[in-house]
Amino acid sequence: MQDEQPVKPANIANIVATNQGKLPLTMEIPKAQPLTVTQVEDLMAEGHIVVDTRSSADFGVGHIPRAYHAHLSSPEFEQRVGWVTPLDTPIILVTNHDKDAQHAIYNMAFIALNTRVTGYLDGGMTAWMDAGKVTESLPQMDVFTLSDRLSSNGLQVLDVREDDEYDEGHIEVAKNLSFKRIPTQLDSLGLNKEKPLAITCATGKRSSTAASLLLRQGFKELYNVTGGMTAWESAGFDTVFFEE
Amino acid sequence: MWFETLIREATGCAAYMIGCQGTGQCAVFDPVWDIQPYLDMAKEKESTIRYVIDSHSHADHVSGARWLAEVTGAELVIPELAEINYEATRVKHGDEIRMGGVGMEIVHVPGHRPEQINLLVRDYPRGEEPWFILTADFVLVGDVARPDLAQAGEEGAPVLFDVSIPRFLDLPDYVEVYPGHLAGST
Repeated sequence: MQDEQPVKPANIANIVATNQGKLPLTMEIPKAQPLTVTQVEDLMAEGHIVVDTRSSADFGVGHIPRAYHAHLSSPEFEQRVGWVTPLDTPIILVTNHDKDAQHAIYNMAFIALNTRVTGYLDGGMTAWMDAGKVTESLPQMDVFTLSDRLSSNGLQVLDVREDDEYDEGHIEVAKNLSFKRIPTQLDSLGLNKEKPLAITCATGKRSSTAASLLLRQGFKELYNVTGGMTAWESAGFDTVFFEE
Repeated sequence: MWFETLIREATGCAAYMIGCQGTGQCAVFDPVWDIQPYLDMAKEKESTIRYVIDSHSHADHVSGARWLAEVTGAELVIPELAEINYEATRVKHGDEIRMGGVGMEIVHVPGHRPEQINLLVRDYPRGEEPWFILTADFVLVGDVARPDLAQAGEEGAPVLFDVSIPRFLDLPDYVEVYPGHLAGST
């Protein structure tokens, strides 16, 4: 059961302050600056966070350890960044191309997040890996494997969709918490960090965002369910309606 | 009079432009941060942006109103009760802005935010009666905007229901309603 109050708009305090003139208004199309691997490492040591905007598949294969994931193609992209990242923390973007980084910072400007972006990793994960830097991965699990493994001992399932989506049909054993609430309400779920956890949403994007948060929380064995509940239902697997 | 809706699909934010062919002037209501679509529309309509109006200090997106006013030299129009620290023309309930035959009447609708205004629009050559109302973050599709962001819900809800909703319901039934948010918004 999720908290009754709907989640507030992302970055609300800074948006209101900008509209009231208390924070500067960006009156030009912002540009994200390229950063080298070394610069990124140094900035991370100083407290910058990494926001990886690539696909769930790319993020899964390899990303900078502790990076947040929010897929740029989502219409909610900038809100997701705002909801899951700590307030006012400077950001380094990881993208596939320079133009994706510019697209990302443009979208972020709509909710006053552009001012947090210091730059983007020039050359992306290719540059990072070519430099031999540590990467972290997020295993992907298709719905057929998930169905087989549901009966195995100890596999936890977390559905990170909104409660109305969950109520319309979910995997019976799945717990529910909107990805937006993970930063504040994760502990209420009583999940076991030592046991495997499969995360699902509607299509596999929000679940990857959620997984990036849980990786940072020390979960040892996470799986992002590819295709999400859309794939699960297409495959004809069982769902239950309403929470038990 | 011409009237255009400009929607940012990703977030469901709706901005509106109202123009008067006679005077070649137009107004932009609740522009979002990227102002290019409004500049493009004004150019397409061969119209000068005369007024840029913000209904309230938005909480979910950055307003492009100040940027648009600065670039075009338009008059920036902000509700009287908004807590802003920049220069603007302040408007209150009952004020009317005219552009030729177009009348834009300010309706104060506190609740979502204390200062929020809606715009009741008339095309005087057609008649005295109001044609449509731009309800911004007040009346939305099938709902009203939440009263707990700018103040405690217990403060926002009563004024929403005791002051603003009656003002809205007093309008004739034929008045068209154009909200500030459509499907897909936060």
